[in-house]
Amino acid sequence: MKKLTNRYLFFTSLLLVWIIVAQAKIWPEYLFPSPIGVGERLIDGFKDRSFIIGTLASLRRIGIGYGISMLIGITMGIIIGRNNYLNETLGSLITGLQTLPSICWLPLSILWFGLNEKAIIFVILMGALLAITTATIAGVKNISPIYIKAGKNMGAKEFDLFRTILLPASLPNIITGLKQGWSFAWRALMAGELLYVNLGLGQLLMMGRELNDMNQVIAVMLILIFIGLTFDRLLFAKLERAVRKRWGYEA
Amino acid sequence: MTSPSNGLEIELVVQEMPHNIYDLNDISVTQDKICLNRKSGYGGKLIIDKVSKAYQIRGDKLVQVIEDIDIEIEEGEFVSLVGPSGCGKSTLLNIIAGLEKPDSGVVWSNIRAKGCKDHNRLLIFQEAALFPWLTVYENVAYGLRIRKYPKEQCNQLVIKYLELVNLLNFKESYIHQLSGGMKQRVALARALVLEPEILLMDEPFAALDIKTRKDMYQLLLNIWQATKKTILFITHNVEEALILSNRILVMNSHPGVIKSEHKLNGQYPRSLEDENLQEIKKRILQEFIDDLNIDVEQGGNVNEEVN
Repeated sequence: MKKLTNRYLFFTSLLLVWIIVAQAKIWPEYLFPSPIGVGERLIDGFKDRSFIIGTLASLRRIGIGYGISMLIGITMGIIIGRNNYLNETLGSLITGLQTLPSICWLPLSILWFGLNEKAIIFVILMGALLAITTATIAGVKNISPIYIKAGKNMGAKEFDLFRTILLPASLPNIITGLKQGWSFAWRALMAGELLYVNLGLGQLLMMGRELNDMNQVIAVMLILIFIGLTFDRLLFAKLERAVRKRWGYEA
Repeated sequence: MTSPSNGLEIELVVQEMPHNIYDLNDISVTQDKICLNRKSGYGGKLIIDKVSKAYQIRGDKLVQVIEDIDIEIEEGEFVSLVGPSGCGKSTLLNIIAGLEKPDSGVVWSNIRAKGCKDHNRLLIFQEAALFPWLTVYENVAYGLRIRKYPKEQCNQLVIKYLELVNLLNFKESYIHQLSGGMKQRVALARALVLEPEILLMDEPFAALDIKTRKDMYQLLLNIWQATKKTILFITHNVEEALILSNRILVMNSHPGVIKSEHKLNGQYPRSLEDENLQEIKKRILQEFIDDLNIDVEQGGNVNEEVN
C-alpha cells in the first residue's frame, strides 16, 4: 500500500513539475510542450480516430508477425532441442544470427518483398523468432530425462511426447522467450514504421516530427509506453507467474 | 526356454499364445476396491536371458556394466535385486522395460496385446517422475489418455486407483504440494491404472523417511497380494528386500553379475528379528564385503568413472 502511495505521489509531482516548467516558457512550445497540449492532442487523436487506426495497424502487423514466429519458433526449438546434430549445427547458427539487431533484416526484406506490408511483417518475425527458438531449445534441453523415460514407458510415441511432455515441461522457458521475443518484435516494428511504412504508430510519430507538432510526438510516445506496459506487465508477467506457481517454483 | 536367435540379435519376442488377451473394455468399479479383470493365466512371467550391456566412456574405454544376466521370474513373484550402487541394477531394469537395448541377450515376456508392446512392464522410479504441470488426477490419467480411452472409462479407472492408494482427496492437487510418500503413491497409481502384469521398481522408497517407508511397504504388499502382480524390486537396502520379497538376488559390480540367490518363505508380515532373516541378511552383507575386497584388489574405481 505504501509502495502504491509513493508511486502515486511521485507521478503526480512529476506532472506538476512538468506543468510548471512548461508554464515558465523557458523553451518554445514546439520544443517543450505542456502536458495540457499533449492531453488535448491525445483526445483529438482518438476523436478523429487517427490514433485508433494507427494503433490497430501496428497491432495487426505485430500480431501476424509475432504469431507466425511463435508457431515456428516453438516447433523449431523443440525439434532442435531434441536432436543433438541439429543443435550443434542449426543451434549455433541461430545463436550467431541472434547477435544481429532485427532491424538489420529490413534492407534484405525490402529487396525480397518490396516496400510493402510483407516486408515489415518479415522483419517482426525475424526479430522474435530467434529469441523464441533459443529459449525453447534451452527449455527442452533442461527437461529431466526421467520425464521422457516415464512417458515412453507409459506408451507415449514421439508425437505424444512433443504434445504432452516436451511442450509443457519447457513452458517456463518458452514464456521467457516469448516475452523477450515480444520486446524485440515491438522494437523491430517501430523501427520499420519510422523508416518507411504507411499507417501505424511509428508513422504517426514521424508525422509529428514533420509537422513540428511536439504534442503529437509525445502523445504517440505515451501510447507506445501504454501498449508496451500492457503486454509486458499484464500479459506476460501474469502468464509467467501462473506457470511458475503451477510448476511449484514459487509458493 | 532359450532364444531362437543367435543371442546377438536384440528383440522383444512376441509370443503367440492361444489365450484371450486382456479385455480393456471390461472394467467394473462396482466390485471390490481392487478388482482386476485377469482373464488368463499368462502374462506375468519374465525371463531375462543372458543379457549383457557395456558402455563406452571417455573415448574408447569400454566398461561392462552387466554381463550374462539370467533371471527367471514366475508370475506373481516378488523378486528383489540388491547390490551396491552402480552395479548396473538400473541399467538392467531399463533394458527389461524396453527403454535401452542390450548388447546381447533377450528379454522374454508376454505381451498383452499386439501393438501394445512393453506396456505390460511399467517402471516406478526413485524420484517418482511425476509431471509437475499436471494435477494428481491428470498424472494418473496420463497413460490412459495417451491410449485414447473414452473419458468416462478413464475417469472410473483413475478414481479407482486413486482410492486404492488413498489419495482421492488430493486429485486436484499439484505435485509440488505432495509429500515424498504421497508422490510415490501417485506414481504407483499411475502405473497400476494401466493394469500392467509386471511392475519394475527402481529404488522407489530410497528417498523416503523410515516411517513413510514402512507405510509404503505395507501398501505395496497389500497391492501385491490383492493383484498378484509380478514385481521386480531394485534396492540397495537389504532389510527392505527381506521384508518384501519372495526371493532375493544379489548382484555384484564390475561387471554386474548375479552372484547369489536367496529364497524366503512366503509368510507375511515379516519381522527383521526373525532368526532366519537375520541369517540371510548376514550372508548377503558378507557377499557385499567380499565384492568390495575384490574391487579394491583390482584397484578399480570404474564405478566412479561411469558416474
